[in-house]
Amino acid sequence: MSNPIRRSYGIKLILGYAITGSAVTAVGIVTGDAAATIVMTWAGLLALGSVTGTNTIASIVELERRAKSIADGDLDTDLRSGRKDEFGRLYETIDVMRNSLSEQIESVEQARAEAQEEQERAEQARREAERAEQEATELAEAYRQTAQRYAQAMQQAADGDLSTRIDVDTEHDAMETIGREFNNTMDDLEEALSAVNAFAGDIQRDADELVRLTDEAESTVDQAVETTGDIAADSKEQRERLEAVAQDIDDMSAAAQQIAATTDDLSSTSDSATAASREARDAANEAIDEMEAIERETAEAVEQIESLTDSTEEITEIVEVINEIADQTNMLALNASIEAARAGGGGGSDAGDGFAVVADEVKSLAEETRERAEEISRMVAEVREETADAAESVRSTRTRVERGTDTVESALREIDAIADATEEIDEGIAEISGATADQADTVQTTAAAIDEVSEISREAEATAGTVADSIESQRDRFEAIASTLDEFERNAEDLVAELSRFRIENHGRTANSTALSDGGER
Amino acid sequence: MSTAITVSYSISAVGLLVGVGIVFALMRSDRVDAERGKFAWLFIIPGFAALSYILMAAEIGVITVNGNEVYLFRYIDWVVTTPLLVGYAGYVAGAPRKWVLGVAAADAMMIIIGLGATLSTGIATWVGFGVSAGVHLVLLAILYLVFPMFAREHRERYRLFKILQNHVGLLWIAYPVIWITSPAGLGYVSAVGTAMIIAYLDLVAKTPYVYFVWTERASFAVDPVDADDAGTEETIDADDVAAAAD
Repeated sequence: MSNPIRRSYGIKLILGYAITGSAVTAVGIVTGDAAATIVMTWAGLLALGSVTGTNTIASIVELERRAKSIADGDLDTDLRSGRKDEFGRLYETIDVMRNSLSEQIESVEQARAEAQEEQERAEQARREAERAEQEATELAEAYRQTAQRYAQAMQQAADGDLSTRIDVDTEHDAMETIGREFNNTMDDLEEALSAVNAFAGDIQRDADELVRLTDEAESTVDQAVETTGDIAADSKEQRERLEAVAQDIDDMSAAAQQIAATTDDLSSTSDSATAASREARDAANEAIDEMEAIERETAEAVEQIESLTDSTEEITEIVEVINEIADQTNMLALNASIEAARAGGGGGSDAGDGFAVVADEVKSLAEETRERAEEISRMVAEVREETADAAESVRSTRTRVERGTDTVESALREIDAIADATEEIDEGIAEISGATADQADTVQTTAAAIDEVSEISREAEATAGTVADSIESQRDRFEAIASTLDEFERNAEDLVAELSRFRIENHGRTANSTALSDGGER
Repeated sequence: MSTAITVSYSISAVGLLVGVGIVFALMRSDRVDAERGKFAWLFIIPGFAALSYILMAAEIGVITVNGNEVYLFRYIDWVVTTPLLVGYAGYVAGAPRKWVLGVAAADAMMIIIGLGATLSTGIATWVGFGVSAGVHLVLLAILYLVFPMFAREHRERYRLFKILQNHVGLLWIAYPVIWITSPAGLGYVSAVGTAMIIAYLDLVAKTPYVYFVWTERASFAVDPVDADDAGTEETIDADDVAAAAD
């Protein structure tokens, strides 16, 4: 029963009053005295006050004191009471309140600290953002300056100065790649153009040589036969065609300059470089095909010239036969004159004299025939010499065409490398591709012109055939040149040997750089 | 001596023995520091009073002065227990030893002078009563003016001090009034009535006193953190004691 009493202040009070009342009643009944009862009542009230009231006052005073210290912020104050009744619970409730307050203040302070931390973090983030922005601005400025420098160099290149190179910016990878690839492109372009220049110059010189040889052959054959006048006319036409070739090559030069002009937009418009470089590669492949066609044509020309040589060998054989016939005729004339002398001494001197006169006549004819044959042999030797020179020139041309093909193939590989590395300059390459297509057309035109040259060569062959025919009609005169044909043959073999050695040396020789404009003006 | 007095003294003796049980429980509790609480001294308060009441119920030590029966053991009890009541309050307040001993000595002097006044006749009785009452005022002054200064320094005991201070200070006012109305004084109240009233007052002054120490025993907790647990310990309830005393 103690717990309900301890838990209730009211029950405690009632109990106290009941006990005190009982005591007062007992005193009243026992003494029957009003004074005693009054004093007892008074003492009982004091006792009740001291037992219940003082306790209550102490609890309240203590509570007030503690509550005040809590209100003053001292939340560490412990609140406890041995009481289990409403006062005890009031203590507990206030203690709970104190703990709750303490926790809330703690959480508020923690939140404040976190907020401060957040603020510091935000401040830190702001500073970092500002720094990043500044760095980005500086980087953008550096890129802008580099791009401006590149643009100047590209403008110079576009204006035709192919020796222009970019001072590569090594600080930024992208700009370094662009600069390096531009320089590589310019190197390749310059090299290709100088190779084309050299090639053109060689062709020109070869053409000059051919013209000169043709002129010489023409004059020689002019002296030999009338039909060589056709050769002269053909040679003139050939020279005109070659001049057209030179003009086409001039156009090619202009196209190359257009290529240079298109590089102007390389820096800003470089989206489809890869596609353009593929077109360029196709065009270059076409150029290679065309050059291979030229190579085949020149090979045919060589074969034709070699067949001309064979024809002159036949002439040589014929001249040899004529020579033998002249020898036998001479021998016969000698025998005839001996027989005439023998007949003159034994019988009719008139008949012997007349025979001797005929024999002398035949002998002089045979002598004349041999002289003419030697003359033909000398002429044929000259023709063979000229033909051998022409063959050498054509072979040289063929070798240079092969080298030109190698150069273009090398340029093709470089263009592939550019396509891989610089997709950003696609569009500029597209324009280069267009220009390269023009160049290819020009090369095609060149090929057609060279076709005509080969046609003219065929006509020259036909003319040579006519010369052979006319010379055949004069086989008596060829007899004189028979002796020199052997030496000519040996010389031709030596020449072939020399040529094969010369070709090997040729491979090692570097192309001479001749200004393209010089070729165009000629 | 009337039966009513014997019954009253017996009831008080039983009620005081309940107080002894409370102090015994205090001593047994391992949650509180008995040495620091000086509980051994508390034993004497209900213990000596209970012994005195048993002796008084047996009518031992009763003398007749001026036709009035005087129970000597009542005064012996008071001389022993009341200095302890007021001195323990001073100890709880944390007062220095000299103040505790001083207030106890003053209390003892008050009782002895009171006894002298009771035993005296004529004007001497009233002079003695006046001196004793003066000492009582000095006691109250120390209790309400001196001890609180020390009690403020001891926060954990402050509430217990306030309870004991008010309990002693308030209840003891009744004693001089009872004395005046008693046959030894003006004689308004009979000896039987006075005996019953004093038996009631003595019980109420002592057993609740130790009960208050019990309820506030957390003030002497071994470990202050566990002080709340100390309050949950089951023990004899003072209200049961009071009920038994009736």
